[in-house]
Amino acid sequence: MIGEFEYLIISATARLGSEAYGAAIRREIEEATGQRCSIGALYTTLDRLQSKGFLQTWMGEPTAQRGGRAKRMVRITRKGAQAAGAFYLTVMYASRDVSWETR
Amino acid sequence: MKQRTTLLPAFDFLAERVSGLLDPSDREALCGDLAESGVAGIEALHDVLSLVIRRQIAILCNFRPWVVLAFLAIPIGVLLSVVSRQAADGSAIYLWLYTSNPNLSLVRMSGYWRGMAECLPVVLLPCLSLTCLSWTAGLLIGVYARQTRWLSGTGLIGVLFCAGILGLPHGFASILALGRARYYFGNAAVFTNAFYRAVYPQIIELLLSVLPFFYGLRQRIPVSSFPRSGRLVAFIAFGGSIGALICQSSASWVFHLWDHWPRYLPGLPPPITMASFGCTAYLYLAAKHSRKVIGCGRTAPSLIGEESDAIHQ
Repeated sequence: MIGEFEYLIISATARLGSEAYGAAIRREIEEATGQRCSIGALYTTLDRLQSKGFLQTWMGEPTAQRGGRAKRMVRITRKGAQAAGAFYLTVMYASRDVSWETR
Repeated sequence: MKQRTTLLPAFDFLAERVSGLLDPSDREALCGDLAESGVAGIEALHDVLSLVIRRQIAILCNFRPWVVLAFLAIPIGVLLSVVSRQAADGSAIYLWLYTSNPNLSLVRMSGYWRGMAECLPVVLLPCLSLTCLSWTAGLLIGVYARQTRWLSGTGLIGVLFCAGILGLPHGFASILALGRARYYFGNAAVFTNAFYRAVYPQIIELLLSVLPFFYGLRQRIPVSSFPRSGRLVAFIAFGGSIGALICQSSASWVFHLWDHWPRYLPGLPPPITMASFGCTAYLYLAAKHSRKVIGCGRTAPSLIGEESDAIHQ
């Protein structure tokens, strides 16, 4: 089973679709969690997910906005979608009948 | 990162330099992400370091850099220290001779210049040989441990200086020519001077071993980007040079066999030729490769990056 950070990356990648790349995924995660996302953690987790076959990455075209640097584009695989789905179901199942409201 | 104006250029400069430890593709994506996010200064350095450290830890968990360190960098460091010491001690005698006897009347004598002409090859050829050998050592280690150059480089330089300053353990004297390296007999006047005994060898080591080694280690054009036949030629040439380094260290070529080898074994290439095999072959192949790449209408650095990516993928 994937971990929570891996799930966040796969979810962000799925949400961004064809616009998924390092900086955009990082922004999505920071917005979702409200915490700073380390770029080192992001890239090493991307590598790990790629080696597991959950994601595919390739170098995109350079853009002026990035100082002429290329993007590392990311795409989710069928296996990755299944793994993220399984994680989501597990969390949902584990959370059934549980209320997190505090008084 | 280069195109932004930042409040903390020193941190940006550091981040830029540290990112050089990453693969070209990682570096490209990371620097682009930082530029796009507008991250600069210490925050950019933190981001770059976080990735570099994780990448280096992952690489160090592999056995390869440790094998290269143990079986290539450290032994070559020991051998280079021996050759460096031989070159330093040999040239120190002549340097002392000419600097300690400054006399203008000598300059007018033809014998002075004849003596100078005889000693120059004895001083310069070993120095040139040492430079070539150190450069080739850097090239070779750069091939096998490109991603952990800092580890192998630090190991080799550490061994080089430790062996140079502290000397090698006694057991090595039976294997290497270290015992004969300090050429005190008959030259005590030279080596009683602390400069020639202790400082000059370190200067020679720094200038003719460390700098050429790091230059070779950088590999502006990676050997891995050469075609298969070029790589084969490069490895044969590197083997020739490293063979020369082993012979030079163990047989004390530079001063004892230098004159005798060509006389008694005219069929063999002279030692300096063998020592220069590695870097000559690299220079030739790199020039040929660059010409070919530029001839295709693309710049050399872009192809280097692409090919490095392909290799790492």
